Amino acid sequence: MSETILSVRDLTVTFDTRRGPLTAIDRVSFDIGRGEILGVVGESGAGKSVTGSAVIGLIDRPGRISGGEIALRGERIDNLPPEAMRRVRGRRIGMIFQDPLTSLDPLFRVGDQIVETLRAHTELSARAARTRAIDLLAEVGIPAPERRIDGYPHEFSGGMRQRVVIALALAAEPELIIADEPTTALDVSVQAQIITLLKRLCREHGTAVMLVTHDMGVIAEAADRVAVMYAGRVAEIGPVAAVVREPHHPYAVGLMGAIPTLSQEADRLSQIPGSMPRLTAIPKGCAFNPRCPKVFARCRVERPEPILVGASRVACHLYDVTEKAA
Amino acid sequence: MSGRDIDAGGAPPVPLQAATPGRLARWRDSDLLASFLRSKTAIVALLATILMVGLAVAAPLISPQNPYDPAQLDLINSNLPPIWQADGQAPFYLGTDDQGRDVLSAVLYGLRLSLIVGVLGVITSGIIGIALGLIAGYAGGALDTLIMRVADVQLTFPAILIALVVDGVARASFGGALDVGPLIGLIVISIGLSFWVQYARTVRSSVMVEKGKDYVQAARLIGLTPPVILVRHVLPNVTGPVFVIATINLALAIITEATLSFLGTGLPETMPSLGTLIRTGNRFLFSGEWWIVAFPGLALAGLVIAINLLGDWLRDALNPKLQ
Amino acid sequence: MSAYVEVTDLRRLFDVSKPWLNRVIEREPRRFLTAVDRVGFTIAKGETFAIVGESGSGKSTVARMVVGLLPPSAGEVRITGVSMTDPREAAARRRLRSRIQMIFQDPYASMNPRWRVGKIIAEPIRAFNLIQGEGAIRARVSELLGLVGLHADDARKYPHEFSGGQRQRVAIARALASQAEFLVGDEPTSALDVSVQAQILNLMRDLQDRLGLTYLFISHNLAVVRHMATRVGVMYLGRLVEVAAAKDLFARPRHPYTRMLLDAVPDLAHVGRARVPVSGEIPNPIDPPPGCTFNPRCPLANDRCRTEVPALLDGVACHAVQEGRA
Repeated sequence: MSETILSVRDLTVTFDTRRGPLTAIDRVSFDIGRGEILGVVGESGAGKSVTGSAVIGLIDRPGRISGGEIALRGERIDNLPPEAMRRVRGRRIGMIFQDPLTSLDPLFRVGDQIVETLRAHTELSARAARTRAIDLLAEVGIPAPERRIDGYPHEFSGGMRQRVVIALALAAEPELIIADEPTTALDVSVQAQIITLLKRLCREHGTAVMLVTHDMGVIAEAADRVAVMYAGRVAEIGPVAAVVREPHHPYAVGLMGAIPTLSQEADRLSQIPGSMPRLTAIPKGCAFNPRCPKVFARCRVERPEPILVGASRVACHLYDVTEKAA
Repeated sequence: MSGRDIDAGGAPPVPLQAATPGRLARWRDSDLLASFLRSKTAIVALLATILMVGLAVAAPLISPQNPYDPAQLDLINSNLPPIWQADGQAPFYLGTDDQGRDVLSAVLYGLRLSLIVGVLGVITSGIIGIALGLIAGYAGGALDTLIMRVADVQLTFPAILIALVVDGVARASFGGALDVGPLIGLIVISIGLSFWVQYARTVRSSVMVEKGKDYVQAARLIGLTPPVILVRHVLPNVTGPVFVIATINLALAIITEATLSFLGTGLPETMPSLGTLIRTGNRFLFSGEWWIVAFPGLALAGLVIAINLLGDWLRDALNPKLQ
Repeated sequence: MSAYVEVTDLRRLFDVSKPWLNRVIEREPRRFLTAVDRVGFTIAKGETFAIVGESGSGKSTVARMVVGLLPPSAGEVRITGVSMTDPREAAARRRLRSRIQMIFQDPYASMNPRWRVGKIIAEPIRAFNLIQGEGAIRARVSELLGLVGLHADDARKYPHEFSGGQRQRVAIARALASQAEFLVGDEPTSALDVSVQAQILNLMRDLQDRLGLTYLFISHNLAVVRHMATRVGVMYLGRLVEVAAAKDLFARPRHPYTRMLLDAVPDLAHVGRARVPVSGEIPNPIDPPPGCTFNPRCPLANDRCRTEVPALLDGVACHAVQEGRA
């Protein structure tokens, strides 16, 4: 892997509720390299969105980062004061959210929003910023950008709005982009356009992307590597082809089998019994053990640490060599 | 961004292995109770309200005198000041009026009447408003337009004016001398007709949201008739805002009754409510007998403020946007 | 094989005019949105007919008209030969009523949260007066819960105590409570996580095998449709553009839109695939393009496509296909 842009080590996020602290993210570690797209996938309650919020320092009360480190190009950013973190966001980390309408101010022309971001984070003059904004809009595939730059968000279609949001995220040439379900609100035919665009831009700009989504299809097409999350922990992380075609963790195996695809015609989908545990009742040992078809005694008492299996790291006792020898 | 996962993962942490909790347990675990215990204002307001209601209910037991019984009044005791002043004497702790009526007893009995009229008025306006709101929201079309236009017109008149008109019409058609029972009924109806609009509007807009929801569609497919769907499924889901309005309106209804009585169209001097007491006491304000008007006034203000604060808290607690 | 459901020339307009006063002042005519335009299909007993389409395609509107929740503006729905609209057949329709049920996207929104699950499932039994006696009704509820893979004791719980998948099981149990034989599923698994979606899809197929149910399955997810359907109808902007057996449709899509859709869907099988994304987005349904509504995005469009609406002939509504140009 090339230069590491984002490095997350043993990240733990706790929510202090009336009924006691809840661990939403439990010792999550991963790296994203330059120009790389890391897919973070999981079902609801897996903690994938909270992970994204933690990286950009937007964990709302009562949540807080209670352990671990987040480093951007080797500099820790998890303990920055709010003002310094605000400068990092936007300048060094861009954001793309699910609903483009909520990240664009409906009362401002889209061009003004991009110019505002450019001027806040770069030395460009007003005139240069506008030229740059037009270039950005052209780059994300908005037709007639010199005219559309003066349009309001509601004058754009859903897909075009998401393109504007991408232009906005790219404006300050950030090193990292956090994209939280960027295609979920879009129609399938438009999803493909946005995925392709995101891939091309991050290659060209060398931007690292953390792509948070529940849609394994999007991950399969967009990501270079993928982290499969379960109950606030990373179950398996590895190159996307390996994780999709030959998953190792029993949860990842079950998940891939449960997804109907266009190419294969299985009569029954493989199904994982039960459902994701609530934060209040995460099982002891391996969080997946009550649903796991291959569970054994150790899984119920000891939490598995990630083990290198092929090109992936898998948090599962099945792959522990000492276990096999025993 | 951070909200979704937490909601899905941890929203109502009910232990599945435990037996289904009863209503009491659900109330104990509810956010409403927690919010209540966090709000000092709400606790004080509730205690004050409970105290007032308790005093009103217990009035015949605790008051030194029955102010409605002329046989218990003695002119010798008239115009006595409160007990802490030089001429004050037991058992007239808050003094007496020109009839020799004990002010404390009159306030306690008046509180009782004011509360009865207020609660009945709120129930009446609630029933009218909720029924019309349900019909307007569910039926839509011309019926909806008709009901809501009537509501609009109604809103352009001050509530007190409507109450005065209803009151005047009724008195004119039944003759001047009405018994206290029918008189209370008349005031209750006046208040009901003045305050139904807010319920109707709120319920209507809630119903219009709810009727598009899947549970109403599901109920239709199950073959339930519109009245059954409205009462069994829609109504329980619109009660939150109705409770808030009812609480705030209780204070308004009590004030309206007091205003009517103050203007002389409410309850008579022989059976005074707080408003009547203020009206009669008002005459003595400048002759130095301030206690005759001050204590009923304080009681009315205290009751209304307590109920209002309770209503404000309830509105904030039930409004998800403010949380 | 006689048709169980017969839909002919179904149309539905929605009045999207401004309020009367605004129309008078601004001198605007009434405006209508054609949500469904001349849609016709048949469903045989025991099969699964799926309607697939993106947002604005009118697929949910068709579903609501088929079950009778929404009156059609024109056209007719007949189920077992009984018209769902003709007032002269009201008596026959009442007898049919209990046999047609719907499963909604969000199971939680479709049930009364204040009721225990046992009462929710028993409601249709009581409403249609199918079984007399409390004991018998309780027994039937237990049987239904067992049928959908829940425990008889679950009848005493409230909906919020269940996970999303379990709630959808409750919704299915309620639909079956009235002895339904025709179930309309409007995106029944879209709100569910993939591992849970597999459970529900498998359950629906099992129930179909055991009880001989007929399904109308509405979805935007092509992979799910491929897994569930015997026949598929593809809708675009209120019109049915292609109807075919599921096998044929996915192996040999004929309409240009179907082809585009199949090519666009992000899918697990497409790991690392380089794609040529389709261009354009769905036009505003209030103001659809004249002629074939797909013509602005279609690579095969010619003048005829821009003026003349193609009829559904031999399962496909496309001039290019009918002229042998595709």
